[in-house]
Amino acid sequence: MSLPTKTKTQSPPAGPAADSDAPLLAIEDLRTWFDTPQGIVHAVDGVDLTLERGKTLALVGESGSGKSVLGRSVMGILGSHALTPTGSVRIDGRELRGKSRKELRGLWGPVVSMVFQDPLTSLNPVRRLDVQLTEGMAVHLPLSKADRLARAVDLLRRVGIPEPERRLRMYPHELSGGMRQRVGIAIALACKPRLLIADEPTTALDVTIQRQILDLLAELQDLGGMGMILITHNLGVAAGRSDDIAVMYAGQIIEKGPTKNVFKHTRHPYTSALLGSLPRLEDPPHSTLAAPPGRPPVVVDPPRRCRFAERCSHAQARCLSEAPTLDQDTSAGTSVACFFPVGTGRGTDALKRNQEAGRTAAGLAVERSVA
Amino acid sequence: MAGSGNAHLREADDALLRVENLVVTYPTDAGVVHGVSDVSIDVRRGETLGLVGESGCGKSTLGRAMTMLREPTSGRVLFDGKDLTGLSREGLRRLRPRLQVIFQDPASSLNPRRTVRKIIAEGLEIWGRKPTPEVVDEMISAVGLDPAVVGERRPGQMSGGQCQRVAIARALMLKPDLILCDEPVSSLDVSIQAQILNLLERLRVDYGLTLIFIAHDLAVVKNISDRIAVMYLGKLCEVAPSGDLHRYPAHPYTRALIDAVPVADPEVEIVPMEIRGDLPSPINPPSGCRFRTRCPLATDLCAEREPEIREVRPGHYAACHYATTQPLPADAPTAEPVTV
Ligand SMILES: Nc1ncnc2c1ncn2[C@@H]1O[C@H](COP(=O)(O)OP(=O)(O)OP(=O)(O)O)[C@@H](O)[C@H]1O
Ligand SMILES: Nc1ncnc2c1ncn2[C@@H]1O[C@H](COP(=O)(O)OP(=O)(O)OP(=O)(O)O)[C@@H](O)[C@H]1O
Ligand code: SF4
Ligand SMILES: [Mg+2]
Ligand SMILES: [Mg+2]
Repeated sequence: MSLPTKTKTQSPPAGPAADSDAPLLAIEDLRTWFDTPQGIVHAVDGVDLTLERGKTLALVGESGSGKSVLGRSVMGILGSHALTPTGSVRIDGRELRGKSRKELRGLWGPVVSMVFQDPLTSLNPVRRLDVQLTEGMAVHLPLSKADRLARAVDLLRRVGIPEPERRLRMYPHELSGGMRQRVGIAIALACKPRLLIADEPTTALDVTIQRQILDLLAELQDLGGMGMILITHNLGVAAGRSDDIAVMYAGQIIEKGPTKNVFKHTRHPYTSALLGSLPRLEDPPHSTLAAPPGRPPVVVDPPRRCRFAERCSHAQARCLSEAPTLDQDTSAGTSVACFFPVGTGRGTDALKRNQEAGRTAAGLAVERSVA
Repeated sequence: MAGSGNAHLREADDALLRVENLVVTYPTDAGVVHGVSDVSIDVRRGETLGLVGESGCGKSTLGRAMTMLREPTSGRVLFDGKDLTGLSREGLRRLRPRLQVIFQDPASSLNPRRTVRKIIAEGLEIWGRKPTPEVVDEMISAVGLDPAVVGERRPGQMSGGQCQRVAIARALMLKPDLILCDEPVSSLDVSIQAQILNLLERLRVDYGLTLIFIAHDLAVVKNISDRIAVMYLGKLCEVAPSGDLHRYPAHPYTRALIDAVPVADPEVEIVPMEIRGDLPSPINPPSGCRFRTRCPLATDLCAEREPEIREVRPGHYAACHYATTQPLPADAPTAEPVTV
């Protein structure tokens, strides 16, 4: 929870990695809080993450869990209601916390770039697409004007925009929502970022276009070693497109690890509930979905307890008086923040106790097991 | 055009709702938009019909025309055997309680100034049948909300999932025969989506409802539907029992849709998808088969002739000159050879 505010100016940000042994991105104990009329919202509340070059980390979780705020914290774009974040965010070993707006701007584009969840926030309504696509290139890439335009056309084509030459002269409002989202992606990729934060890059798009965009991003990673944080609520997208996955709930990461392990040895009751609530094509029609009851909380003044306890079928008295920390689970090869994880002896016993009692320690009704 | 014909219609007597050769066009400054072009489909009582397809393919237009929320440009809408297209305004108004609708954005379809109890009662009040407070609270409970907690709240004080439950309760108060659900879960989180899908399924059984369920998520549609119609640019591509469609897709577009669905299992390999690009303009739809400009199988024939919808397996229909049921298990029936 330290607050490192070293603002020593270093070599030009777009230059070679400050420390080539350091991971591309390292986040430690990041806290981003907002001052709201309802109180202090703990939108991101103690997050640790690392991402290696060329890899994809999927950040999943339901609405309000803090995914976008985490992404925007890395960029340093938080708005006026945010309290100064604490913790550390390093790219190539270089601390970003405490950098001035101007210093951060120098990083946006070639070092780190973001696809915004709402494409309208990233597009300037009164400027033509050619200007918006090429302005970053003019600063960061050694290209002539003609080459910049050619690259803009190529980018638009690759994100699946028909007639890209003609569209270059258009304004954002002349495009459909799906097109605007794709233009946002093209702009984010324009300066060949080393780290891309893609916040729900394909949510407004049809599955066929989504597929095209995800293929393109994967191709760019293979070619240029771009690292990516893929923010999505779609567990299918996360499963197919990430090396590692982190599941967020109420501002915290509650489970993370290699994607294969998290899906194969799901330990957290929340992750397990999310997977259970997905309709699947293999299941017969009219299958009942295992929906967790209730909905995620907005975190104001979090009590010391597990934030998922109210909705959790495993919850015991301990979950209501103590907050679980994200610890390694060697049997699964992941990390999990739960006292009674799924697929472990402790978890199975806890569920059994609750089923016998017909309710959890938090008072949630659980289907009684037939003894 | 791409996919006409009525081979997939069932006995008229069995259908609660049956539309024949529906056409809906929208005149615009840029030209006439072909929203729905010559579509026929039926729904049996107690059945759930799913409509899937890409954004702009005409799902909402078809759903609205089927329930007479928009008068079709041509074609017939038979509800309980009676053609609704000839009905007067008053005749339609009388029928409205039996044909209800739920939309994607529940918050904006509910009056923001009224309380939950008032919203749920208002539908009936229009008919001069003021429900008792007990009946209203019973309905609030039936959709999984606590009347003591939310009864006096307004839409702005509730989450999207809660608003959707209120919209469902409001529709149910009118004891409808059929509810058109236009993307009712598309803007909800997966856990809330699952709650609403389970709720709709339970209510369908308890209240003997017939549903038309629109979504762009194939897995969601499969979960809730008995029969699925896949749409493309204002036309039907394929109509199949819900359990069959993803296992034996017969239309190349359906196959592409299925291949594109991301599967929540990292062990499942991502297979290359065969189609690229967006829907063509609905103002100038391609000649012949409307899918031909993106179809991996397209030939000259597809530009010249519109494929008729035909049965490719019992109860399974597709509108493609080269419709196939591959891969099929050894004992499954095979498709008719293509006749040109
Ligand atoms: N500028 C802000 N001021 C106050 N609260 C905010 C602000 N931005 C975000 N929050 C709150 O922080 C929490 C996390 O929000 P965030 O947008 O990160 O969620 P998310 O996981 O991206 O959700 P979604 O899936 O809906 O995009 C929410 O409770 C949100 O209301
Ligand atoms: N009122 C209207 N005026 C003009 N064109 C319209 C109108 N309503 C719909 N359209 C057009 O008709 C076509 C079908 O639209 P429709 O809304 O039925 O599609 P949809 O399948 O429901 O799409 P979505 O998944 O985006 O809801 C689209 O090209 C659309 O732009
Ligand atoms: S078992 Fe306890 S710690 Fe684990 S998720 Fe449930 S409530 Fe939280
Ligand atoms: Mg977000
Ligand atoms: Mg629609």
